[in-house]
Amino acid sequence: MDKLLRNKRTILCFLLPGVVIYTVSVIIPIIWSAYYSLVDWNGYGEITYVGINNFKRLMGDTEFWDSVVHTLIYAIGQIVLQIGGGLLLAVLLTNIVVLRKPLQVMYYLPVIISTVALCQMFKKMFGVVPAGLVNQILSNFNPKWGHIEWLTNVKSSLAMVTAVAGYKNMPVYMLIFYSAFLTVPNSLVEAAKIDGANSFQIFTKIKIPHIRPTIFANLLLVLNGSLRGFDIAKLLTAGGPINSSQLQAMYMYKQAFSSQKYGYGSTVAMFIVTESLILAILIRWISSSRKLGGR
Amino acid sequence: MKHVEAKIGKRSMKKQIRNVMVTVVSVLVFLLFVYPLIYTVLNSLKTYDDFTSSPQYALPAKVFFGNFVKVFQSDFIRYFINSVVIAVLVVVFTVVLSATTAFAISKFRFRGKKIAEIYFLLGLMIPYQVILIPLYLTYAKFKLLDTYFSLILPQVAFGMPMAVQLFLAFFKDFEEELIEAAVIDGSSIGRAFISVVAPICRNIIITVATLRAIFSWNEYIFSYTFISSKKMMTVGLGLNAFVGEEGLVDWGPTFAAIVVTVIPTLLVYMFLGKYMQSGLSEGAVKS
Repeated sequence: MDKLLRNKRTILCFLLPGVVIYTVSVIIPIIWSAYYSLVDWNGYGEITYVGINNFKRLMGDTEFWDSVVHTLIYAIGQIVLQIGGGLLLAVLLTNIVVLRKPLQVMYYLPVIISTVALCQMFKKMFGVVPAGLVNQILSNFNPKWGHIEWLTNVKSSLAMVTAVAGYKNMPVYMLIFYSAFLTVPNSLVEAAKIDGANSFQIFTKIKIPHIRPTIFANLLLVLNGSLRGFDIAKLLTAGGPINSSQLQAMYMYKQAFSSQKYGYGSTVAMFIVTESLILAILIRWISSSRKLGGR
Repeated sequence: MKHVEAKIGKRSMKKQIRNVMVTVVSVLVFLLFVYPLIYTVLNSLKTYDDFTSSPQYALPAKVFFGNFVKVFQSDFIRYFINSVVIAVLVVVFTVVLSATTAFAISKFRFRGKKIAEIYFLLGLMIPYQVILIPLYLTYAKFKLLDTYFSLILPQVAFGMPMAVQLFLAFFKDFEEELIEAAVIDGSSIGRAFISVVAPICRNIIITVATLRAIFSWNEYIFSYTFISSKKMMTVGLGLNAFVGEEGLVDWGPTFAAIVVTVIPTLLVYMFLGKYMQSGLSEGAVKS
């Protein structure tokens, strides 16, 4: 048996196909991207090596930095909505006695509806001409409110994108935190009750600290997901109006595929990869030092 | 005695208030998460006159299926078939490749197992848009743009990190004696993997398959980038194309098209949702 498990040919048969597919379409393209970030290329003509010039240009590119700021705002919104909202929903779920299971199933619906379908729904609900659901309801209270431009207004476009993205993913974290709350030992909660703690204190002093590692791990996931935010902004507002809801991944896409600047687009891509890696290291570090320092 | 009664009364009162609050909030949350879908379904059954004469929150005057007829008369069937073919192939390849890879990493004896595990974890951190440019340029060079292959490859590859993780977690507690017994009975490791290991992995396979099927069905950015011809479009792209052609004037068909694209995921979710949810929360609840 041991010999069989050491057999090189068997190992290769099992390991190689997966490793090759993964390497060819995930790892190698990233290395390639790193190379492209140092060149100037429109996709068919000559490839000109420009060194770090693309990065220098990036530093002074205001449209790019605007998109980074938008991404930051978007990310903060995702943390509030997905982690904060997810926690609140998880608490709600633990308190529901009747029909808990079917409600849990229903609350999860936005996650499984495709982004395209969801964005089409929201575009109709927040439509202006003809008036969508929201404006129709609002106009019953005040006729002026029937013409609010939710998605096509510089002031609200990014907020709408952030809200819809948070809405779509909130139930995932509801479920994760709900399962995490179930791992809190009942004896701890009972002991706190005997000591006279109310449910709010039990929540903040016992349950939250107990699931802190889960919260940190998911904070990382949400932040990481926010850096790559694209679909909803693209589908809901197309980054507009006047780039007011353009996220960094969209700017990369625009540079590469609309302007055919594959080199410069890759430079933006490398910026995003660097951000992700720094973030991963940072959060790892914070969560491990927290663990060492105790509560 | 009276004092105790009052206390109990106060308590049950408090409990009742709490119950009412929980009920109210859970109904509100229900509306928040489910109403958009109800609204879409109701509006898909409305005639054009319904839209102009009554508000969108009203019920349809009478149930009208004409919008769905319009959807099925368009190219939607084609988009549908494309998405099904892609989703099935993505699921099959993701499950097979992840299961074999994870099995090798967890059970075979070779050096660098830990590195292999981390190597696959990397994929979870990488923003997938980053590979769009090199992949697009490579596809263009080898005339692979606008093919099923162009969508299946990245979907399988980006599905692997999570799937490999799920399988690894499962194989950790998997008893080697079972394989040993099969091997002693004269079957090869490959045979034993199919006849002994795979059946035991049933639940984890369904979990991975459900997750990937829904991700594949809902996938947007790869198809938006790599697909250009109408006959290769997936439902996501097709929905947008359809709305562009039909939906600007008449909203009914748009709502019907949304319903049509959502139905398959709803069905999968209805029957296999518990596997999907367990897959999503597993690995996430870890200290």
